[in-house]
Amino acid sequence: MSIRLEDYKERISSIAKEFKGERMGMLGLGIIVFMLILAVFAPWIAPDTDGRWADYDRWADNPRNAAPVWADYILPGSRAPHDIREDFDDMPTDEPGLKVIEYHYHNDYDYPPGDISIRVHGRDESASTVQIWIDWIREDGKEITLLDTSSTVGEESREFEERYTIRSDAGRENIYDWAYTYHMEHHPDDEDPPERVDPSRPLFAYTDENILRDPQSQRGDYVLRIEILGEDLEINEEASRVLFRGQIYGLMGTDSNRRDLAQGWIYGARYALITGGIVSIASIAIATVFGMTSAYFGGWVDEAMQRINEILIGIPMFPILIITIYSIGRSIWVFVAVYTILGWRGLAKIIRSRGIQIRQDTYVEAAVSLGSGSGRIILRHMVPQILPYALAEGALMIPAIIIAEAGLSVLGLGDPTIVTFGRMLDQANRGAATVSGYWWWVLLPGIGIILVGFSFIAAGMALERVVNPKMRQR
Amino acid sequence: MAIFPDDQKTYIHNLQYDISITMPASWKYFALRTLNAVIVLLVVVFLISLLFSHLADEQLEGTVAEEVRGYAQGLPEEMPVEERRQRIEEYRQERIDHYGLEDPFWEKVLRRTWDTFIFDFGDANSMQVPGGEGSAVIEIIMHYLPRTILLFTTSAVIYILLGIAVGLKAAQVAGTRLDKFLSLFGIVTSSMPMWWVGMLAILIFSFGLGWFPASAYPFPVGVEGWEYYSGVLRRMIMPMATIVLVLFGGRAWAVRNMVTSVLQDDYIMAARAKGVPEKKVIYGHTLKTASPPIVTAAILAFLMSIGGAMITEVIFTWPGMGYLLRRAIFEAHDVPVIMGIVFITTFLWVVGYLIADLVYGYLDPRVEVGAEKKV
Repeated sequence: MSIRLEDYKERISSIAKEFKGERMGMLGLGIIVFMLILAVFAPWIAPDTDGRWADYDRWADNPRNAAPVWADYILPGSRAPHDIREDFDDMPTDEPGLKVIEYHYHNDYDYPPGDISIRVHGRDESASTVQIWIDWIREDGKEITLLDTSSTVGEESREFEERYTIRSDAGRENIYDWAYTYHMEHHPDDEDPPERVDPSRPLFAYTDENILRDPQSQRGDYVLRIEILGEDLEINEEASRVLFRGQIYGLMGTDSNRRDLAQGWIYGARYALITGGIVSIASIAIATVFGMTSAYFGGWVDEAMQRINEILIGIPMFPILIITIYSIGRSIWVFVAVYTILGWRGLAKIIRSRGIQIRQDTYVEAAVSLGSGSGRIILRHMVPQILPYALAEGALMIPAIIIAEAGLSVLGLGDPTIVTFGRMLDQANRGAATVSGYWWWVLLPGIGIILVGFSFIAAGMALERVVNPKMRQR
Repeated sequence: MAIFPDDQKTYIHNLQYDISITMPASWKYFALRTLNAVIVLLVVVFLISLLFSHLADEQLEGTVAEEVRGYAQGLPEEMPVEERRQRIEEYRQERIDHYGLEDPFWEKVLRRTWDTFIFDFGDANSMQVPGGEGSAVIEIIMHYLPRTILLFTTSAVIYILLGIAVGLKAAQVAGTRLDKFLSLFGIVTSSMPMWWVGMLAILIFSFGLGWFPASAYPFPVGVEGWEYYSGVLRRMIMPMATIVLVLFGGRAWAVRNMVTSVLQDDYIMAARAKGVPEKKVIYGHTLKTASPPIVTAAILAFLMSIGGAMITEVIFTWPGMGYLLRRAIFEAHDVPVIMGIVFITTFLWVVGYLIADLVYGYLDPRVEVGAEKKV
C-alpha cells in the first residue's frame, strides 16, 4: 500500500485550472507567496534579529520611537531622517595635541533630530587625561557648550572613550540652562518656568518666547564641534562616530527600545506562517485519518469515534492554552502542540460527512467488491477526493491560530525567545504606545496579523468554492 | 471576532449534518448533551489539576514556610532552644498535613479536581480581595466578574441584534454591491484581533481626539447616582464599541448565509410563486426555518469571543476577569487565581454550549441524537 502521485495529479491540475479564475483567491495566494519569500529569507533580509530582539546593544545605533520614513507623505510637517556620521576628519590646528572635528548639519525639517549621540574613542601615549569640549554652533550664530569634560586614559591600554548624548543628565542641564536665559528674556516675570523639555528641541529652535514651551524648528546650517586636547593624541576613527538620530527610520519605524520594527515584522510573518502552517497541516492530517476511518467503517466504529469527537469539540481552546502554556512553559512549540491536539476535531467532523458521501460512490463500492484492502481504498480512492476540502478548511483555520498566539502574548504567555506580531503588540501595549501616539508600533504588527489571516481566508474560500460546487450558488 | 471561529463553524456543521429527520426531540437528546457537558467539564478540570499540581504545590510550600516563620516569631523568647525547635517542627508538620502536601501525587490531583469542580479554589497565593478581607480566590473572582458580565453582555446584546438586522438586510439584497461590501466587511473584521482594534481606538479617540479615557481604571470612587453611572459609561463606551464593531460583521455574514441557503429551498420558491410579499417571505417563512441555527450560532459566537474580550479588557485596563488574569499571570504569579479563572471561563463556556444545544433541540423538533445519518 502506498500513496501514488498519479492518483492526485489529475485532480490537482483540474483544481489549479479553476482556482486561477478566482480573483480573491489569487490575491490571497499572492500575499501568501510574498510572505513565504519573506519568511524563508528572513535570516538574510533581517540578520541578527530573532535571537537578539531583547538585546538592546544590538539596536543602540537606532533612533527611539521613530516613525516610518513614509510618515512624511501622509502626515503634515517634515521629519529629520536618521543620519550617521562615521567619518572623523580632523581639521588642521596650530596647537600640538589638539584635534578639532566639525560636523555640519543642515536642518530642513519641522521635526529636527530627536537626539545627538557622540562616541569618541582614541589613544594617548603620554597624557593621563584628555580634555573634551563639545559645542553647538547655531544658524543664528549662538553657541552652546554641550559638554566640557576630561576623560581618563587607561594606564595599561593608553585608550580613552567618551560617550555623550544630549539626553544625558549633563546634556539636558546644559541645554536647559542655555534655553532658560532666552525664556526669561521674554518672560521676565515667569515664576513657574516649564521644567521638562525635550533637549533636542531648543537646540534647533528659534530663541523666541516659545523656546521652552513650544520650540519652533529653525531651518539652516548647524555645526557640531568636538575639540579634544591631549598630548600625543590619536583618534580611533573606526570606533568613533556621531549620530543625528532621526524622527523617521526604516520602513516601519522603531519602538521605544530602538528596535527596527521592519526587521521584527519579517520575523512576525515567519513565525505566523510557521505556527499557522504546522498546526493546520498537522490538523488536516489527523482529521483526514480520523474522519475517513470513521466514514469508511461506519457502524459502531463511527458511533464511538463521533462520541469521542463530540467531547473534544466541547473543550474550550482558550483556557486549555492558558493552563498548558503557563504550566509547561512559554514556548511556541507548546502552543503548536496543544493547538494541534485540539485543532483537528472540527475538521474531522467536516471530513467525515464528506467521506460518507464519497464512500457511497460507485467506484468505491466497486473497489470494495473487487476485494481491495481498506487502507488501499482510503488512501487511493477516498483521500484524493477529500484532500482539497481538507486543505481549504485548514487554510480557514489559520487566522484564528495566529490571533490566538498574539492574544496569549498580550496576556503574558508569549514565547520570549522569538519575535511574533503578538509580542510586538504586547510590547507596544506595555510601552504605552497607544497613549503616546506611536501609531506605527500598533498599526503595522496588527496589519501583519490581518494580512496573513486575510490571505488564507481568501485562498481557502476560493478553494472551497472550486472543490465544492454547491457553494457557488450562494 | 470570535477568537476561535473554527469551533463555531464546526458546531454549525455538526448541527446541519447530525440531524436526522425521523423522530422528534426526546429526553434522550437532552440527557446525552448534559452528560457530554459534565464529561467535558470533568476532563478539563482534571487537566487543570494535573498540569497545575506541581506549581500549586510549590506555592503551598512557600505558604507553609511563611506560616512557620510567623509561628516561630510568635513563640516566647525565653523558651529553650530544644523545645523551640521541636514546637516549630511539630507546627510545620501540622501545616503540611493541613494542606496535604505529602499525600500521594494522584490523590492530590484528584482532590484538587474535585475541589475545583465544586468551586472551592482555596486561598490565593499573594493576591487579596480588593477592598475586602482575606484572599479567597472565589471572592477575588467574584469581585471582578460582574464588570466582565456588564461589559460583555451589553456588547453582546448590541452586536447580536445589529448582526441579525444587518444580515437580514444583506440576504434581501443578496448579490448586490451592498451585500458584497457587507461580506467583505465581515471577513476583514473577523480576521482582526479584537484587542488590536481596541488599541487603535485608544490611539484615535483617546490620544488623537481626547474624547474618552484611555484607561478604564480606576473606576469612579466616592460618587453616587448619576455621576457614578455616567463615569462607568464613559469608560465603557470604547471597549463596548470595539467589541461590537469587531463582532457584528461576522455575525451578519453568518446570518446572511443561513438565510440565503434557506431562500433556495423549494417551499420558498413556492411561496414566492404564489405571490407572497417578499417581506413576508423573509420574516415569516425564512426566519422561522433559519432561526434555530441563528440563535444557537449567536450564543456560540458570544461564548467564543470570551477569550478575545478578556484580552480586550487588558488593553483598556477594564477591571474584569481578563485584567485579573493578566495580573495573576504577569505580576502575581498566583496559581490558585489562574486555576479559578480558567475553571470559571470553562464552566461558562460549557454551560453556554449546553444551552445552545438544548435551545437548538427545543427550537428545531427534527433534532435527534445519533451520529448515523438517516436521510
